[in-house]
Amino acid sequence: MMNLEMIPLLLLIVPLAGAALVPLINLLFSKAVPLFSVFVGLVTAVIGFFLPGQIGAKAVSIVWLPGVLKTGFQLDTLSVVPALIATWIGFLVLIYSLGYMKREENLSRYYSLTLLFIASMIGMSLADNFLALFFFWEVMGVCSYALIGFFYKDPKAASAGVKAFLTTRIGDIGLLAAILTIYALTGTFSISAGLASGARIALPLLNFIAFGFILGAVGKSAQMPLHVWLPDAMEAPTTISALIHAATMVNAGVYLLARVSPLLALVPSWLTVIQWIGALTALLGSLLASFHNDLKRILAYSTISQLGYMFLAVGVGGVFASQFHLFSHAIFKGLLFLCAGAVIHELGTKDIREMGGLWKFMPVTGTTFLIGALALMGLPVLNGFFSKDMILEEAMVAGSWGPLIVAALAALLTAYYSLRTTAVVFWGKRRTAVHVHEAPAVMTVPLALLALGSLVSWVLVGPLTASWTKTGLKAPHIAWFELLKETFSSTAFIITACVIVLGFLIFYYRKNLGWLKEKVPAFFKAVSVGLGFDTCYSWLSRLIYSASSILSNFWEEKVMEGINRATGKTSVALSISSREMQTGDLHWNLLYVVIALIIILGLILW
Amino acid sequence: MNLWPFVFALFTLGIFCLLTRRNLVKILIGLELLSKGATLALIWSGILRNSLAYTQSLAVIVIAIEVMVVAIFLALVYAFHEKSSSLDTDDMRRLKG
Amino acid sequence: MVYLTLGFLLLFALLAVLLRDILLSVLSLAAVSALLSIAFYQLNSPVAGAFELSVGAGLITVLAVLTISFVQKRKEKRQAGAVLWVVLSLTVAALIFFLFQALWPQALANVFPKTAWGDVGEVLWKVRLFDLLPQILVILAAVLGILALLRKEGENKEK
Repeated sequence: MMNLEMIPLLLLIVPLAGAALVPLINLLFSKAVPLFSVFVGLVTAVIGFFLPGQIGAKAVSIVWLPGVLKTGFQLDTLSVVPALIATWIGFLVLIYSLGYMKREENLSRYYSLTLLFIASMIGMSLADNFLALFFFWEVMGVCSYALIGFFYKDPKAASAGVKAFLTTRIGDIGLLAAILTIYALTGTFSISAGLASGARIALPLLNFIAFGFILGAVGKSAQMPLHVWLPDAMEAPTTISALIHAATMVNAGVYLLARVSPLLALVPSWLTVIQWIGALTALLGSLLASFHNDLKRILAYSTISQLGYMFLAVGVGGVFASQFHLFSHAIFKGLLFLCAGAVIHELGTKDIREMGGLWKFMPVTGTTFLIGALALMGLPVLNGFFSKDMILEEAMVAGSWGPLIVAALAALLTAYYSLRTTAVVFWGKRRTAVHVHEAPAVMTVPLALLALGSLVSWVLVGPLTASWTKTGLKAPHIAWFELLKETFSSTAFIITACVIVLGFLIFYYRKNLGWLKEKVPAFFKAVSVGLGFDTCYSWLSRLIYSASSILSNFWEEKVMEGINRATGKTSVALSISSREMQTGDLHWNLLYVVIALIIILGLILW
Repeated sequence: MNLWPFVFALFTLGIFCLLTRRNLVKILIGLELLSKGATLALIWSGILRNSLAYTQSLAVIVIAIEVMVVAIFLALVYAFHEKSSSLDTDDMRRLKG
Repeated sequence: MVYLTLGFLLLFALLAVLLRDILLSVLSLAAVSALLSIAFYQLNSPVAGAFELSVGAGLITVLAVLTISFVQKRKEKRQAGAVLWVVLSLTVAALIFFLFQALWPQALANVFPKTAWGDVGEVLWKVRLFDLLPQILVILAAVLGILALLRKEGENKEK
C-alpha cells in the first residue's frame, strides 16, 4: 500500500525523471521518444487523480538545507488546481503532439522540455516555500525560452525566445526582491509563515514587497506594460502555445497574486492598481485581437485579455473567482490553440485571410473551435460565462465601477472578435486552394475532450468551493445549481447579456461598419502596430545599448589607455630630470656620499 | 677627559680632503683619515661604556676592512694609470650620464 | 697625555692633506697611523693598537709607496721645503714626548684599567663570531677586485 503522503512528491518527480530520461531513450531508440513521453504523461495524470483527495492532508517533504532549502508541499485547492491543470492538459497536449510534431526533428529536445515544464509547473504551484516557488518559476521561464526558440534556425523564433526571457526577467527581479525582503524581515522562506507575519511589517516595506510581487506577476502573465513578449512567443510550436502560453505558465502570475493576496489586502492602494492593470490589459488585448490577422496572434492577445480579467478579480478581492476563471480559461483557451494548431498544420499558413470555409472539410475541428469561441465570448451555459460573470459580480460588489466599465467594454470586443475569428476561418467561402482534410484522431480526441470540458467544467464549482473553504481560504460554498440560479439572477448577468448581444450585432453588421475605418485611420494604424509598445521597447533598448557602448568605449580608451600613457610619460620625465645628477665628476659623487652619511648619522642620533 | 673634538677634527679633515683634492691618492688619504677617526671614536666609546674588550674586537674588524678598501683603491689607481696615464679626477668623466 | 699624542696626530693629518707631493703625504699618513696606535695603547686598548700599527703604519704605507712608485714614471719633484717640514715635525714630536716622560711621569701613567689580550680574543671568537663571515666575504671581494683591476690589457685582447 503506497504511502499517500508521497503523492505530491511523486507527482513532481515522475515528469522530472521523464524529462531526464528522454535524451537517454533518444540515444537508444529515438523512435520511441514520443510514446515514452506520452506514457510518462499518462502516469503523471493517473497520479494526479489521487491529488484532490490529499487536499488538506500532510505531505512528505525533503529538507536540503535546514531552515533554508526544503522541498515541501502545500496542499490546498489554490495549489492543486494549477497543478492538475498542468498535469491533465499537459497529458492531452502530449497526445496531440504525437500527431502535430510527427514530421519535426529534434523531438527529444521538445518532449524533454515539455515534461520538464510540466514538472516545474507542478512544483511551483505545490511549493510551500518561496525559494522553491522562485526556483520552479525560473525553470518555467527557461523552458519557455527554449521552447519558443525551438525552431532555432528561424531568426524570428530565436529573437522571440530572447524577448520573452528578458521581459519576464524584469518581472522576476521584482519577485526576487519581494521574496528576499520578506526573508530579511521574517527570517523564513515559508509561504504560510511569511503571509501570517505580514501584519507586522512596516507599511513602506509592505508597499515595496507588494510592488515586487505585482511586477513578477505582470511580467509572467503578460499584463500591460510587459505584455509584448506573448504575441511574439507564438513562434513556438502551437502545442507549446497551448500548454505554456494559455493553460499554465501565464497563469503563474495570477496564482502568485492569489497566493499572496493576504499580504496585498493590507495595502489597498496596490489592489486598486491591480484592478486597473487587469481591466486596461483586458481592453488592450481584446482591442488588438479584433484587428489582427494572424490566427495565433489573435489567440495570444485574447489570452492577455482574459488574464487581465483574472487580475481584475484578484484586485477586487475575488480570489476564488480568479481561480475559477483560470480553470475555465485553461480549458477553452487550450482548446482554441489546439484547434488552431490543427488548422495551421493542415493549411501551412497562419494568416486567417487565407483561410475560410473550412467547416466542410474539418467538421470536428470547426465544431470544437466554435465551442471554445463561445466559451471565450461568455455565452451562457458554457464555463466561460459562469467564471466571467462571477468576476464582474465581484467587481460590482466591491464597487470598482471604473474597471468594471472597462472590463465590460473588453467583453464586448471579446464577443466580437471570437465570432469574427470563427467566421473568417471556418465559414464563408474558401480562400485557399490547398487540399484540406480533417486532422488525425490523435489530434481530434483531445479537442473533443477539451470541448466537453468547456461545456461542463463549471459544474465542478461545488466540490471546488467545498475544498476551498476546507483549507482556510475564503469563499462561500456554492453548488452548481446554486450557481445557475445566482448567476442568472444577478445584476452582472444583465451586463453580460447586453454585451453578448451587442457583440453579436457588431459582428453581424461588421461589413456596414466599414465607414469607421475611413473616419479614424490613425486609430487603426496604431492598433495594427500593437499601440506602439514594441517600438517603445526597442527604442529604449537601443538607447541603453548605445549609451553603454559609449560609456565602455570612454572607459577603455580614455581612462585605461590614459593611465598607461601617463605612467610611461611620467617615467620618462623622471628619468630625464634625474639624469642631471650623473655628472661623471668623482667629487660630486663623493659629495653625495658625504651628504648621505650626515643624514644617516643625524637620523641615528636622533 | 673628552676625545670627541679630536674625532670631530679628524672627520672634518678627512671630508675636506675627500671633497677638495684632485689627485686620486689624495682622495685615498681622505678616506683613510675618515677610517681612523671612526676607529678612534669606537675605542673612545668603549672606554665610556667600560666594554673595551667588545669594542676592541669591533675596532679590529674595522681596521681589517680599512685595509681591504685601501688595497682595492690602490689597484684602481694602478688600473686607471695604465689606461690614461694621469691621476687627475678632472680627466675621469666617462661616467657622465 | 693622550691629548698630546692626538694633538700631534692632528698636525700630521693636516700635513697629509695639505702637502702637494703625494709621496710625502703618504708618509705623513704613516706617521698618523703610528701616533694613533700609540694613542690606543695609552687608552688601554693594546690589541687595537697592535693591529693599527702593523696595518696602518706597515701594510698600507708599503702598498701605497709601491703603487706610487709604479705610477710616477717621471722623476720625483721633491719639494725640499716639504721634507724639512716633515722631518722637523717628527723631531719636535719626539722631543716633546721625551720631555714629558722625564718631567711628569705621572702624566704618562695609565688611568684606565687594562684589558688583557685574552679577553679580546674571547670576545672576537665567541661573541662576534658572526662578524667573521662578512670579513671573509670582504677579503674575497677585495682579492677578486684587485685581480680584476690589475688585469693586463693584452689579456683582454686575447679573449
